[in-house]
Amino acid sequence: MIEKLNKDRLIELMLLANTPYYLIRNYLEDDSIRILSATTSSKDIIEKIKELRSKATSIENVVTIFALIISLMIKGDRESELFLQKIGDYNIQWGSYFANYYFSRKRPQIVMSINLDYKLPQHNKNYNASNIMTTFDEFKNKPQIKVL
Amino acid sequence: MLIGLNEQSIVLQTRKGTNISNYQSKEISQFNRNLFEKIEHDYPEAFKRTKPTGLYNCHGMTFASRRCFIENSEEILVILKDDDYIEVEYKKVLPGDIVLYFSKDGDVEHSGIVIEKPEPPLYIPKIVSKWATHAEFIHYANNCPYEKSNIKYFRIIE
Repeated sequence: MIEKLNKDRLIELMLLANTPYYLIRNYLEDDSIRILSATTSSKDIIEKIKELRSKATSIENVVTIFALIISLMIKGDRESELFLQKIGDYNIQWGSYFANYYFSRKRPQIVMSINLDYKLPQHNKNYNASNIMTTFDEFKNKPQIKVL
Repeated sequence: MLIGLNEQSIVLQTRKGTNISNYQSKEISQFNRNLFEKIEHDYPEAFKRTKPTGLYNCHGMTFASRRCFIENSEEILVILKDDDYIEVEYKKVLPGDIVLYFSKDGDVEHSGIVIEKPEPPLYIPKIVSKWATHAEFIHYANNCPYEKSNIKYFRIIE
């Protein structure tokens, strides 16, 4: 899973990161992280983060953990979001920055409002259901669909 | 910067007494030092004036006299306000002014101190800046591994 990460480049970026967001921005654009994100399940990524957390710290491990977190941010599925919401539990430095970056830029969910903007035809008091069923041409105003 | 390392911080405040979070990081491994050589290779015109250290970053150099790492970009903006920095037009920059590199989303991803005023026709000043855990470099403002599309200069008048 993590063997194909471009570790040298990722470490270089970390060594040059004056701010966490510099790291996050550049990691989000890294091809090796994007491939990892596309080819690995959220569950496996999170398991790997937990595994690496328990090992001795080294810059290689740290960079790998950061890359895995970024891959979750790219995935953006429910499981990834749950992890990011609870990232404070893992005691990962800069963890709050990852979560803040993700949730502050998360696209709002598309709200689709279907406006059935048409009127039922006027019927007289003798109206009955069968009459409506047979007079579709009376619906002159087609329904409008608006995406907000 | 590393996970779980026992880093320490110092008391750091703005002119108006606002606390600024910071830390001092650990030693840098030989492996990292090898990567530094690659970075230097990428910027041959930048002159390295110190050894690499994790004790301070660019913001720690610019705003805290080389004593610590300041990583929170929002706090840099607090310092600018509390310390009464004013923006200076790039053609009027003088030694002692500071330079900030803003990313497209407003993060202050790098900073430095102007050491040589800009000359026409390009008006690009020479600065000294610390490249995160790497060393301090003397370089033209547009010759470093940070976002260069939104560079701003600031000065304290009084």
